[in-house]
Amino acid sequence: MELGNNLKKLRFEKGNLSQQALANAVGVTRLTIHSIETSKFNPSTLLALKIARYFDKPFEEVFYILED
Amino acid sequence: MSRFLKGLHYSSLSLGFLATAAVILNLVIFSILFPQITQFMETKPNWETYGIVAAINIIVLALFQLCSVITLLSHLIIQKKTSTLVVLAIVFGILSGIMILGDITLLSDIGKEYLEGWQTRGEWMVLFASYGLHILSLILNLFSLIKNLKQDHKPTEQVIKDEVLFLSTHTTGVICGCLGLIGVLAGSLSSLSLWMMERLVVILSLIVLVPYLVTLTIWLFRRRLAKVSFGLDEKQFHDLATSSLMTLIASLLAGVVFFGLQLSPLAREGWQVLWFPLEIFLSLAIFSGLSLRSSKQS
Repeated sequence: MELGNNLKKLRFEKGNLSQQALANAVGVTRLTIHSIETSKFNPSTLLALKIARYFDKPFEEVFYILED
Repeated sequence: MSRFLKGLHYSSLSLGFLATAAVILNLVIFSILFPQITQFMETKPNWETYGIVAAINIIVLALFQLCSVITLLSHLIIQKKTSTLVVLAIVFGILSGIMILGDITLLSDIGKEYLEGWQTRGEWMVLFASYGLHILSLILNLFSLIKNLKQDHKPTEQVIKDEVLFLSTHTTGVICGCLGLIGVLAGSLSSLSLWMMERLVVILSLIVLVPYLVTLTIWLFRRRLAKVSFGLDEKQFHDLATSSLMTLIASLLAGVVFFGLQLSPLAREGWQVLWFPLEIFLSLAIFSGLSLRSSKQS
C-alpha cells in the first residue's frame, strides 16, 4: 500500500500555485513538496494535515491510500 | 540581482582577469628561475625584480580567491540557487587560497636552501603542482561568476525554508571526501619516506577538510541568523537518518577491513597512519553522497 495524493491537481486548481509557494505556506522546502507529490516521501500526520488545511479540503480529498 | 551582489560579481571578474595574467606571469618567472636555481647559478640582479613581481602577483591571486569565494557564497545565500559547478568553484577557491600560503612558504624555503647550497627540485615540483591547482580554481571560478551573472536577470520566487545550503554542504562533502580519498591513496602508493608520508597525509587531510568545514559552519550560522529558515524539515531529517544508518554500516565494514589489513602481511609501510584519514574521507563521501542522492531523488 502507498500513500497517493492530489497535490498537483489541487495546486493547479488554486491558480497554478507553485511548489515553492505551497512549501512556504506549510513551512517545508520545495524538494519536500516535490517528493510528496511524486509519492517518494510520506509526510508526517502534522504536515499532511497542514497541507489539507491550506487547500481547505478534508484530508481524504488530498491524500488517499493506493492499494497494491 | 541586488546592486551589492552585482558589484561583487564585477569586482571578482575584474580581479579574475588580473589574477589570470598574474598566474601566467608567475609561471613564466618560475620557469626562468627554476633551471638557474636548481643548477646553482650565480645570483643575478634581476632576481630581486622577479621576486617583487611574483609577490604582487600572489597578492592579486589571493585577493581574487577571497573575493570570488565571498561572491559565490553570497550568491548562493541571497539568490538561493546552487549548482555543482558553483560548489566546485568554492571548494577549489578555498583550497587554492590555502595553497597560496604554502606557495609563500615554499618560495621562502627555496631562497634559503639555495643560499645553503641545497637541492630544491622537490619544492619546485610542489610549487608547479600548486599552480596547477590555482589554474583549475581560476577556470572554475571565472566560469561560475560569468554563469551567475548571465542567470541572475530572472526574478526569483520568495523562499521561506531553503534547501540550498543543505544541498551545497553535501555536495562539498562529496567533493572533499573524494579529493581526500584520492590524496591519501596517492600518498600511500608514492615512494615517500614514512616521515614524509605522515606529515603529507596529516596536512593534506586538514587542508581538504577546510572547504567542508567552512560550508558546514555557514549553514549552521545561517540557520540561527537568517530570516529565511535554513533549519531541517522532516524530509531532510528522514534523508539524514537514512544516510547516517548506511554510513554507519559502511564505516564499520571499512573499519574491519582496515583493521584486518593492518594485521595482514600485505600492509604497506605507513598503513598505521593512512587508515584513519581513509576512514574519515570514506565516511564523509558516503554520508554526503547518500544524503544528496536521497534529497534529489524525488
